[in-house]
Amino acid sequence: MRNKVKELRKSQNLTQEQLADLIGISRQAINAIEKEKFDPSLPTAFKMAKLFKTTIEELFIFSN
Amino acid sequence: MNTTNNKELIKKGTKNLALWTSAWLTMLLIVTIGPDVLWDNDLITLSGIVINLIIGIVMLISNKNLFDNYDEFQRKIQLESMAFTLGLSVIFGVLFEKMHSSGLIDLKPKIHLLIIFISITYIISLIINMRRYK
Repeated sequence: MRNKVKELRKSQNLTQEQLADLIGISRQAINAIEKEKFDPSLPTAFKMAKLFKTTIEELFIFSN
Repeated sequence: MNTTNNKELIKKGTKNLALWTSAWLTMLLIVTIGPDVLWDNDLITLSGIVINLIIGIVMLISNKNLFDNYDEFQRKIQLESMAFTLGLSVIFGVLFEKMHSSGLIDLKPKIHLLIIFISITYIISLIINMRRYK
């Protein structure tokens, strides 16, 4: 699934490690999400959207 | 959830699992060679088997505790590796047994060969999965 995690993380001057600490997952997970190789769980997606003050639909772009 | 704290828990859990796995393997070795080399008493052998079983259960619990501390991504990697290992072990286990029963190979299908196969396959699939998601 396409996403804007990397873009928003950089706009907030956060490293992958810092974002991982704030969300409560590993840095490797953040890296895999940013590279669109791993889709996060719903709670993680909500935490990310809340942190970036956006919605899940804005953050993750669903396409068939 | 604090990941710094979680990293510590994973580190501690991994050490714990390594310790119990070593203890289980050591006890297994003692129980295997003990009756032939160290003692000639069924009660000692039975006690060794019971201790080995108890250590095995503790090893399983520490593995579960470690798994509980993984995040969703680490769990996905572990589960995919386990599924791959299980599938390959069944396929090659049955194949090996059939090849032996039909006389194509002389090597007898023994449990230690399966354990070695499972260990190697699991390590390789973990490495492959970690690289896949990099």
